[in-house]
Amino acid sequence: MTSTPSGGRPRRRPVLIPVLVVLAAATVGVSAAAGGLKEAPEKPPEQAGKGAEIDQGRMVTRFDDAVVRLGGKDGIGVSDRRYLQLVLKVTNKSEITLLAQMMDDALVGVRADGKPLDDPASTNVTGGPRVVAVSGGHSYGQMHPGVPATVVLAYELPEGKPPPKSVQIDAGMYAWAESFFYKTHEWRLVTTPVAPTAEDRAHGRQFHYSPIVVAQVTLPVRVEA
Amino acid sequence: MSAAHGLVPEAPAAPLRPLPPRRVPLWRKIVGGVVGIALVSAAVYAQTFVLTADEKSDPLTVSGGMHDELRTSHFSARLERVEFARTVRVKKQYSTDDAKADETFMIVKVGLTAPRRPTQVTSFVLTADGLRFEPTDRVSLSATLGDKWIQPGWWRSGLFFFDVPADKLAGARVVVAEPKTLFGDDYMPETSFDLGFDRPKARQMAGAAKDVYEVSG
Repeated sequence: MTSTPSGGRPRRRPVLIPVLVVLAAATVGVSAAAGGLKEAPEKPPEQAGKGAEIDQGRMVTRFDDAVVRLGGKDGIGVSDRRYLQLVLKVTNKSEITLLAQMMDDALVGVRADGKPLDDPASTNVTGGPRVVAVSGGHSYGQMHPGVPATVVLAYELPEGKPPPKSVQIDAGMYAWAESFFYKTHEWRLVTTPVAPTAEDRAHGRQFHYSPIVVAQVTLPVRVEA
Repeated sequence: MSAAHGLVPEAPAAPLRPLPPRRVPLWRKIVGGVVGIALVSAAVYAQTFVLTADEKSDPLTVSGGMHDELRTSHFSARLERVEFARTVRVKKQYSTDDAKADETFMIVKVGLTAPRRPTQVTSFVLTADGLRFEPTDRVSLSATLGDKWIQPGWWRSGLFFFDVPADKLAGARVVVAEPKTLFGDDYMPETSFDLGFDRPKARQMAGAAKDVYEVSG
């Protein structure tokens, strides 16, 4: 007796296989519609203007002003030189006192009219901005946790050239990252692999890591007489 | 003759009859199971005491209150006085620097001695929610204890200045420690003093701050 007696229970239809087929087809279809299995293109950084408040993980930064003025005020620079000063309000969100100098790292790129301001090839011998926390007409160096501080990045401008019209600032992002080897934690700039430069190709590298930019802030430069 | 003695194997001993299996009473099985599970759970629970990689570089803290003498193997410290001021005036030989606080400066007087070798210390304020405030750089280091040497056998007192908002001072502690080296020194001692502030007391002390506090430095 091998065949199922008819007239007993009704024969079950194979439901599972068609359902799986439909699900598989739907998965492929949806993935294809959403752009396939390639890595999604990165979102372009948020564009922001004067007064924008950007969360950079380790600190919240408000971009208040970009101004060209002579040195000697607030303890910045000397009185016969002009400085492009980026005025920020920075609230330290980490748990310990930070040095204002680290805002030079947190703002991963600063360009004036499209040209990098901290270009090592420039004639500016300091090679970077002087970064201070200004209070009561003096310049200091600390950003205490949870206390908003006025931070100024001062770039010395070359003599005899017109001041820039606008600056564009790339704000980086910090994350509380675990060290792969030591398993300890520290704040680190979030990076992403980007296309290789000519130098990378010369060294045989296929890409290099570059800090991600969460926001691009464009500030008009005003000139203070 | 006994020449063959020892060469001729003796007749093999009769094979041991297997012992009848001993019956383990049920209650002992249950007790054994319970003890086994308890041991395994204890072993798993003990893993929660393992220090994380971050905690492994934490210092060894000796805690106390105001005026307690806290001893560590590298130095002994006591918190002698806590005051508040809106401005700190540092009188130097040829100039006077006025430092203004965002709100008020908390001025902490610490006494120190070292048992064996000249020692330098630094200090920080640890608030109840874990924020760590370094001494303010508005008051020059030369007016503080931060750049002084503590010589063995002598007590030396000095000041640290902190720019901490008054509403963060409830439950805050003042920690005195040797400055952190870059790498390599584990289990460094530190002393931690409870200021004994609650919210009203911190507000009242900061509200009664002096206008100007003069130090030489």
